[in-house]
Amino acid sequence: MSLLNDPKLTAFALGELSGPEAKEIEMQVNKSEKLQKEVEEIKKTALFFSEGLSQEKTPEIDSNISDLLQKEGEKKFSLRKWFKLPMIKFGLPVAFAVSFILINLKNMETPTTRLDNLTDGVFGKQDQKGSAPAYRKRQANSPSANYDMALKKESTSKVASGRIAPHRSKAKMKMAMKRNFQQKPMILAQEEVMPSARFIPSTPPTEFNTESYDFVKNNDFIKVLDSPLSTFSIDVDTASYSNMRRFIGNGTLPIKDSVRVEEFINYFSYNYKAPPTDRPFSTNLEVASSPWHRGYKLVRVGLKGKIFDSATRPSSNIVFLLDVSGSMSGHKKLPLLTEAIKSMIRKLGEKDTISIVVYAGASGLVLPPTKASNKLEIIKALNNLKAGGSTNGGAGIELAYKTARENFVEGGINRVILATDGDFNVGTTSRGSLVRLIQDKAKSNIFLSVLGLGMGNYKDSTLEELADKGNGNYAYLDTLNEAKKVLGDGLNGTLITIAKDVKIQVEFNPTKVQAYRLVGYANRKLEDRDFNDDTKDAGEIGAGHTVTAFYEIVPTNVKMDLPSVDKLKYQKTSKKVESSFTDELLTLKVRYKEPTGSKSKLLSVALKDSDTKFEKASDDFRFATAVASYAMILRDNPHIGDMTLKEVIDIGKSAKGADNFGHRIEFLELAGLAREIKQKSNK
Amino acid sequence: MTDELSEYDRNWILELLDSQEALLVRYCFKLTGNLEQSKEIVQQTWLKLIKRDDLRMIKSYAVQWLYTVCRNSCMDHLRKVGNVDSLEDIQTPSALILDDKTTEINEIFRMIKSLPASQQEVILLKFQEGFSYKEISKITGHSISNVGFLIHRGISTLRGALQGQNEEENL
Repeated sequence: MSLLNDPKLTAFALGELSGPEAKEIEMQVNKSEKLQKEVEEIKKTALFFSEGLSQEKTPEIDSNISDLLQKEGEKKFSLRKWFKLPMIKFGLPVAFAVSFILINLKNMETPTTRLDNLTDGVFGKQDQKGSAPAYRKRQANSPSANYDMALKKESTSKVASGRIAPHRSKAKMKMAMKRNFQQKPMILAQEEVMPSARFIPSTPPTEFNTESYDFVKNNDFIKVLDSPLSTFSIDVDTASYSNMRRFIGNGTLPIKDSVRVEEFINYFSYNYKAPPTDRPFSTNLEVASSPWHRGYKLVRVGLKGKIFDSATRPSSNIVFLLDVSGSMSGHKKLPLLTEAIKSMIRKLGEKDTISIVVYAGASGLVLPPTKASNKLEIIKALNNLKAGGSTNGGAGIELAYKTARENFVEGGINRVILATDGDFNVGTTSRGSLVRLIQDKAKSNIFLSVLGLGMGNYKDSTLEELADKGNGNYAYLDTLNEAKKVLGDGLNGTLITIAKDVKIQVEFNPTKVQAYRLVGYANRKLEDRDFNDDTKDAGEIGAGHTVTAFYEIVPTNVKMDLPSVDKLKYQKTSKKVESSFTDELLTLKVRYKEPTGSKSKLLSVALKDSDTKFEKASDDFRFATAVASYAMILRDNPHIGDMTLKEVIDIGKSAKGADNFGHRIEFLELAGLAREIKQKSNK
Repeated sequence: MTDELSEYDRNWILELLDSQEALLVRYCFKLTGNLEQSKEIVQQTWLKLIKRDDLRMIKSYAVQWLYTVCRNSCMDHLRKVGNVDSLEDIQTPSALILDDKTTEINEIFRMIKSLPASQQEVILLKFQEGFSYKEISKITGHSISNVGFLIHRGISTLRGALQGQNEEENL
């Protein structure tokens, strides 16, 4: 049977098939050159039309709620606050005054029609839900008022997620990408890039989803007798969590390999005690029973970095390296980014210098080093940014580091902030060479922050590696709220590195622990010998950051079957342990370097065993456990036992604590949504 | 109807509004050919969404839901004005009316307009709005395999038209 004129082949080419059906067709296609060509043609046609159609303009939507909201932010939600708007505030008294005068004038036989017009003009918006609207304009407005009423319901002070001037068709294009064709959206800014007709796409799509994630494996239990030490590098990145939020928001579960448990846990800040003055961070250990396996225990390792306020924050030299290539034009990319930078600029001042390097096909310095107090100048430069062109990341990185070096502040903050969707497609494009370039630059004591944006062609794996090798942190900005978390409230944490190459090594006491499993940090594991090797790179910790890791441990009195190696012939396998430490579960050792130092320092603290029940553990402990469980469920990690998302939500609810930023509530919502998606897909 | 929209729901609606509202109006405009009417339909649709008490359940397929409701309202409207089969004549270049000077998009619409109406509709939902077959099936009421068939036929015709055009250009 030929597939040549079969709707199935079209469905296959459009990425509509999955499972065995897709496999079967793929097999047939692989066998036949003719079919391959056909698939290629269908994809080409599809790409051509979807690109072309994405350029259709969307109608201006005036006089409705969303525009009002965009202008004024969330305060519009509350009708009470609505009255506080200058227009209404002044409008009302003026209107009353005018009506009063007019009514009096009317009594003196003034034409009444003018009164109607005037009151309509002034009351137009606020009168909507009153008597039947008499004017067309009001009619158009009335549904908006209803939105407002419906949305109003609860007035809160929390800032809404960002309202940004939308590029609506582009936004939709992005939705489109998620849903089917995940081709490179370089064409979005094509007015600037390629003004001429461009009827045939220059690059045929080679794959549908160009998002890339590295395979991340799950850690297994390890016998203490085989390997008493566990060593890993800390990780304060949070990108994986915001990326998950994006997936869930779009109604799908995240791709398994995009879920990194440690980044989920570290997305939240925990109330660990502040460090003593002579140390950059505090250590916080806690143990309780494990909710995943009966009889097992869970140990939490928590670090908290020193806190700075704006007065004690050292001077800074910040170079933004912004990707303005065509693929950055979606409304959740460049516009969101510029908004976020603006909010950051507001937090900076006289002692801070900002430069902006952009890169697309070529790279350039669009804002020479400028004092952050000169806000107008910076905002002007930001407003002039336009997306267009292909991405030459390599050249931009060179220029950014050069600029940072020329303005180096001794003893201050020197940082390059790279913002991109990571789709480097011109110049130094191979991941390896980009990483080497960054690694080389990192030696100059200039730190790197990587901000990931957008979707569809988002290169998570490249960006995470760049941040790791560039002595830096990595965040994914999916909403303005998130952008403000990273560049606003969390700015000091993003900017100030208080310790670098932070490594954690845990030594387990074999009299108490027979096996352990590190939860997450799978791609952060280090060789035990790397712990004392100062040339080995590891994670950084920023001001006020908390870093949390969990070990699930199997006490010696619990029966457990683990595959083991055969008895050794020449070594003694059963080791007798000193009895003086029998009440200790483990010893935590932390190695770190001062931000500009090259010799590491060592902290060491032991954890005494305790029989605390999970339910009695601290809120932070239980909440972090809920988050870890959630991530493990998303990863289909078998070590979760039979815990369900419902239990995750219950634990999270009971451990929410003060939740000053609303992040924990949001987590519960997301977990609820994930549960619904899971249930639906199981049906 | 629940009394309170949580902040998360509200933000979610705002984001959705931000990304979908204008697109929905554009979509309705193609069906009704009447911009004011389309805006009205879209606003009513949002109200319907906000008033759902199973808002959380709807989240994972909200966009498809919005399109389905909009399409139904458009069809109701068309029936009312006695123009029921106007699906047979989708108002295409809204771009023209929106003062879009690009000829490319008109060219694309010209090609799409040469297709039968049912194909036009699914092609636009697929390639402009980016829905999956399953979602298109929910929106239009066609079965999934019928959607697949319509898209297959549509894309074959469009391919032919495109090739013809390229040959012309090369002459």
